[in-house]
Amino acid sequence: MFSKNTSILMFAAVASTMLLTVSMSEDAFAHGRIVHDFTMDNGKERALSIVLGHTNEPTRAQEDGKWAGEHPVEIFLRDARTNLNISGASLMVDKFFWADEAAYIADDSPKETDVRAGGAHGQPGKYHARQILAEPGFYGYRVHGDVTYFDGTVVPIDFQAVCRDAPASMKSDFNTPGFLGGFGCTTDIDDGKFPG
Amino acid sequence: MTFLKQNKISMIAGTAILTIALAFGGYSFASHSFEAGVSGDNIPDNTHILLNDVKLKKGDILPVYDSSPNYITGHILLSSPCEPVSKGDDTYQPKVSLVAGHVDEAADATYLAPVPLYYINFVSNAPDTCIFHAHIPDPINDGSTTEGDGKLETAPKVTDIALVNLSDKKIKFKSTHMVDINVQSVLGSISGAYEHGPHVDLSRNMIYDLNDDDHTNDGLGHSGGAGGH
Repeated sequence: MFSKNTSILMFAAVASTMLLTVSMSEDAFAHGRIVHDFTMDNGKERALSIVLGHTNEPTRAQEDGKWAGEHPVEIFLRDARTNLNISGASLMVDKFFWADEAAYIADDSPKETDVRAGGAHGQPGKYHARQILAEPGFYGYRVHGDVTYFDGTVVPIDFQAVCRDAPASMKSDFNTPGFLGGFGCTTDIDDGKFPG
Repeated sequence: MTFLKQNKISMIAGTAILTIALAFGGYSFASHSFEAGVSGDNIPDNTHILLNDVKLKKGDILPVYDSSPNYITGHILLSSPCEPVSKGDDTYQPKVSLVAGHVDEAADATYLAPVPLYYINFVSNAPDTCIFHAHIPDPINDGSTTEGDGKLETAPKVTDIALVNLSDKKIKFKSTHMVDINVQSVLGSISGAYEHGPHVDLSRNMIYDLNDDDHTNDGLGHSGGAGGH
């Protein structure tokens, strides 16, 4: 029915589409989410949906000649009822890093505080704080600041979360209750090699 | 100057303003806080429906858009015969009602409520033809004029838009009457958005007016100042 070349081309197209779909799904799911309820100035109940993660998941630490390690903190801010993007928020990020659980137990304070997460140009509702991830390990973030809702109500937000592959004891201790899902922890670029 | 002549000048000026506004792609109208207009290469989907010679009997419904299974953001322009919101009011409401939400094949997943409408007096020729704008979705303003039980919040997720005759009389549209629906983005799948229905509030639309002296009907979320809404 089809020539051999046509069949190969069709197979390649289907395979490419499947691979693209899988990779896009990975991007879509490697983020955590928290819902923040609030009351508008006129008394109506509303909620913010705040999604936190890194760009270009899965993340790998920078290594000369192999991987740039550019994985800015990425925050998506939406109205939970309508899914409309919310722009104009003033968001800050406190950054945490631990190589392992022992390091967390020894010192759980942030490495950097009040790093601005600015709005991404032309992408309402998306905010990011640029960074290069320097080492493999457990990264955590506290996101805080003010969101101005559509009617002008100012909603303070403040939550924190560590990457999802951290030990359960770390996550239960560090994460704000209600933070669901999660963003991936950062690995060594060589960890993903096959055959290793 | 006679009233007729004044009216003619108003109409010409109004048409000119509308033409200029439309030439700029509607951006001058999209200054509400929840309409995050951006520049880009995506061309919005536009549906323009001429209503000339359409007749709606009492209770008739005319569906004009269905984006199922996705819910969308968009902007609606409605040109309709109109009447004062209340006797002597300089703010007008359309004789036809505009409703939006989701009409599911299963009744319990259906949600339909009136849309908040903005009356644009300077491009209207009441009561023959009034111009209204609506924002899909409107996350903050009431669209329903129902009081107490049965009042629904404006639909937060919209797939379906329709015109309904909720008046006691037949509505006959003329050649200047139309509805234009500009869909700008898809926000997600409507699956599971509504349950335990049907939730239906068929009341006349709440009308907002930024250009009269009454600021209690301005609504929420507009940026104000020059540039319009």
